[in-house]
Amino acid sequence: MTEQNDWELIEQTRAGDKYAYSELVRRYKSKVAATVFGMIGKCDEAEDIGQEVFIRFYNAINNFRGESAVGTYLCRIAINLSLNEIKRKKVRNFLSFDKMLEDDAEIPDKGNLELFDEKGEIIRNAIAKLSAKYRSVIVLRLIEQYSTEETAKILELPVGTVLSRLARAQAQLKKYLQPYISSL
Amino acid sequence: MKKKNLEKLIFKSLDGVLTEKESAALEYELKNSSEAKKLFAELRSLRKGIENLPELTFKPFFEERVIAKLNIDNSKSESFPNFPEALGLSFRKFAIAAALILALLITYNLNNGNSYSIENLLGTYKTPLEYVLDPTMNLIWGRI
Repeated sequence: MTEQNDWELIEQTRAGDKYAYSELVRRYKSKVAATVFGMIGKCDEAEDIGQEVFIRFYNAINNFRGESAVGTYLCRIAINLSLNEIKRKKVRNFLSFDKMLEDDAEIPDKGNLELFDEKGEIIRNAIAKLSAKYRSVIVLRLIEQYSTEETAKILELPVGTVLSRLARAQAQLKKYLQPYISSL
Repeated sequence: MKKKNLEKLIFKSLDGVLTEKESAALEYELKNSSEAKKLFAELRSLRKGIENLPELTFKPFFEERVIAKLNIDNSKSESFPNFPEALGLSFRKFAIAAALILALLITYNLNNGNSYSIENLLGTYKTPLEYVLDPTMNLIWGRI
């Protein structure tokens, strides 16, 4: 049995077939997870935001015209919801004087490297220390591997801005990860 | 070449957006400077490390939870009344409260008055001018 394409699943969802929508969710949940975890880190809210991405897409599915690919559209929703969550956390933490995700993201000196199981965790913590605007280009361009043009389209920015933010983000990451660069 | 400019060129090279002139400049630096070679290797290694990050996924049965949430949202919107119904529901409470107040008013006025006229029941009798000018007259006749 040949796999149905995205547009067929969308048409079936519009007709009320929730199984078809479940298949769409299965297809794109990894992409959405990569975006959300990249933006806000591994936390309880990430799963809620992931669900909210698909719920919003479902509610807007009748208006989806296919100008962009389904994955790109979902990514845009995921980025926007993640940015909202980052802003919400900033306000909450400001009011309660708690530390931010960026403050919690620890990058070890070589002394306590054994506390970190994978270099992936070190890199993610470094990414978490970036401001939201730099984090989004790193997540889309390098982790999700969208092209520069696709990244610009998702973030609604000029290509030049994406390239300059990418360069600055990488320069900052290099500073954070200098002790580990040779072993990355 | 300054380190900052070299870094810019390397980033552009890794993004594949170098012009011919920039490409030639970078090639010259990489041929003639061990520092440039080292920096290029570091930035490429950093990029590869990010690109090859292990995947993080949602907990199992994610699709099922999304569909379950959609089903709950759908049933909520079906049981929630539309605007005219909601208006009627709210108005009903005010109507019941108003009826109770009216009943209390009529009972009170019936007890205090000796007439079944509408004015007496609702307490809307006209106050004569002499009572307005001299309120003590009301005290004598028990109208207040």
